[in-house]
Amino acid sequence: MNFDGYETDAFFDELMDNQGLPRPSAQLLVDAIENLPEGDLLSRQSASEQAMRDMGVTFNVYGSGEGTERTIPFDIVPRIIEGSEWDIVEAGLKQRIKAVNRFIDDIYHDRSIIADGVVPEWIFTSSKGYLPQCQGLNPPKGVWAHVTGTDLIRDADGTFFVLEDNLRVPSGVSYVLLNRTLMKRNFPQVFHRSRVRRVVDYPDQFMKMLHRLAPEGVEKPNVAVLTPGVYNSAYFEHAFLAQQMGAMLVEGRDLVYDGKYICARTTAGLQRIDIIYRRVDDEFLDPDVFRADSTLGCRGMMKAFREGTLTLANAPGTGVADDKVVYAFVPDMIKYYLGEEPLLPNVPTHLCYDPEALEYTLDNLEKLVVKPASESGGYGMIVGPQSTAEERNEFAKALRADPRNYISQPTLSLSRAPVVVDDHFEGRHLDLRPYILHSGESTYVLPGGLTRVALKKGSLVVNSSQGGGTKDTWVVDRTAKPETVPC
Amino acid sequence: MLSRVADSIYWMSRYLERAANTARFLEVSYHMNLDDEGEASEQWAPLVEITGDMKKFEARYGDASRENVMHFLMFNPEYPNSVANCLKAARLNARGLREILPPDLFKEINALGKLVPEATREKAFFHQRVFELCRQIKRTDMLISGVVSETMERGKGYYFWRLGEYLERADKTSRLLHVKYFHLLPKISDIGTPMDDIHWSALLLSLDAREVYHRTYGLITQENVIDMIVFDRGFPRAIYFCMQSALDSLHRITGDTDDVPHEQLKHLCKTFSELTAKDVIDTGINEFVDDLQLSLNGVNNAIFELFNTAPLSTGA
Repeated sequence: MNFDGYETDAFFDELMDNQGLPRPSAQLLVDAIENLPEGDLLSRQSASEQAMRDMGVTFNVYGSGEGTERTIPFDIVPRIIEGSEWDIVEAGLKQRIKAVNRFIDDIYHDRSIIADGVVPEWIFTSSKGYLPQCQGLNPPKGVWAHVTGTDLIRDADGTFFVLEDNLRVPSGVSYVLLNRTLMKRNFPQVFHRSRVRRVVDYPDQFMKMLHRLAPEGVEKPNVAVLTPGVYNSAYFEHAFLAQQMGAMLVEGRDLVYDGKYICARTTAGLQRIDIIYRRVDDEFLDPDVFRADSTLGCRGMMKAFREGTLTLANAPGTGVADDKVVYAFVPDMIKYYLGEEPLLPNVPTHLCYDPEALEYTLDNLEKLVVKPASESGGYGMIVGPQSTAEERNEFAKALRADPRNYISQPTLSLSRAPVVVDDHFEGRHLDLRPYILHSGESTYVLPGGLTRVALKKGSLVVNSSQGGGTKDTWVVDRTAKPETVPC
Repeated sequence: MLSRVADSIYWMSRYLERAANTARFLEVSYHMNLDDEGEASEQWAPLVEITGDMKKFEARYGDASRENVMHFLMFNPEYPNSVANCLKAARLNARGLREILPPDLFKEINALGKLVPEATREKAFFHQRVFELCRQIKRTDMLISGVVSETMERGKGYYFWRLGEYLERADKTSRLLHVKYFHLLPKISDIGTPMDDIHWSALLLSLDAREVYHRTYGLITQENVIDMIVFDRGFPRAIYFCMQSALDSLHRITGDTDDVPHEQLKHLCKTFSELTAKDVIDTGINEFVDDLQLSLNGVNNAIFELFNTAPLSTGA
């Protein structure tokens, strides 16, 4: 297979320049692919997909019947980012996570940012992610959001924008690690010569970060990953992370509060747990404090958290900054808390609570992307240019009924990269979700992150629940044109 | 180790062993019946008799024909102990345990769990496909056991696995003896005839024990066969060997204690060490097997009690 006839159209392409020639960082890869025997790339692609099925790397699709297991489609052509470009993104992400953590801590304490008139009070009082139960709490080192997945996109000239911050329980990092394993198998030589920044130590970085946040006086903390269980759509990831980190994987029914500590029920009696990386939403964590009907968490968990015998990552209540309305104020937070200019721009955002912005949004629905403020997974949104008049009418009703809950953004010309379609390459839109680990004293950013690609021609929605696939993401430090190597 | 995880490993191991044993019975019965020279009708009912679920079977199928018995034991989605259901349950347990299973082990159990449902989608599976399927299940089960042995650290997880495996196997070997008893039922006069030898030989075959039997004992006699599959101390499918191995595994988990399952297993092993094949024949195979199965159930329940004594989570 070769890239003859591959069209970048008017989009920014991650591998090709606007002349259709490989970017310097992608030259090695493109040469290697073009030198493969006919049919070879396709058989590597299908072997990789089979490997995923064998490993049981599947997710459950909600609402599509019991036992529906699917694999996320994997595209074998990696996305490539130059190291020098990445360095700026990385610095921007570190800056952002610091400011956001300061904001969350501020909201649950003095609210100086509101007193100083930088953000309006209503944005948190009306946020679904704000938890009054967390008011005044002091998680270790003042860190609330330890693990973040921030969604980035690139527009027509390749500029990176932050699309949203996922501060609650962001998923997908296991795919980064698995995709990388598959790619190293498929393109060992190109991979090696390209000097791709490594992702393999993410679980270690994660564990180190958690250890730094152990409750006071605990030298060797017991770490557990809390999962809703085997039927959860991200169960594979929970098990994978626990396995890679060497943590215990627990469900709510394995836990019990002994009056001071959260403990696991083991074959040798109760065992104290010091740190829980929880993949259960806030409202299910503790039936005494949040939803009383929850069986996914454990009674007493919030008490242990409040009293400092248990560290929760992420801390409950981070959802207050995960709101798409709050998102619009992150650049202001960076200036306010850090006294710095934001390194990564936001996508221009209209807040529909503002009557003028609402009017503008309603008048321009066919041009805009409109999203609910507190949903994730691509649910409940509308992409104006790809909607029907009927869909827009329906949407306008919902929008008028609850303007606070919506934001609108221009439909950006999302960047693309080649994917394998049958026997040739076509450009598809994609985004990028880097993962950030923050322990207060240090911040680690996974080089690259999860590239999600909208496999449907022309589609801008990359979520796996909506027909998206993934690619490996290479941050490469070698850009000079080297000699050609086989795959 | 979490109580839930221990229980889940134990049962995963039991389900796999159960499925593989049923596959062994089916394969050998098939071959044995091929040798029956049409003198009597094929005997498939004993395979159902030993499950203790004859009533369920009759209500659903009626006649104990080869196809019916095969379907019941291999494929029936409503029968909890069908091979398909055992493998499905093992796979589900494996999915809930994957953070502690070696990746290769998970892969094999995952693939095995999908094998039987995939086979049912094929037409005309009898005579060729089903018996190939039996062999495949048996072989994969052995492979899994090898992967466990080669990759699992000798911690609690490993010994819960072995504990489940050996208790299940002790139970299944005793049921095999039971098959023989039911085979004899209609024609007690067959004792000592060539057909009787063929039955015993088939029984040994399904335990991969025929060659070693002949090497050790020579010609087939009822007493020697019972001696080998019940009392042998070195043959890995002999009941005594399995119980001793289960006791060792339990010992590795808790150390030397006098808790209930320990005491029960110790007592069983001691009793067995004092019995002979002749005692079994005198007592009657049927009674002997019934008693043993009751004892093994008791051990199983005591194990559950011992490792799940912590109070239930108030959050659950």
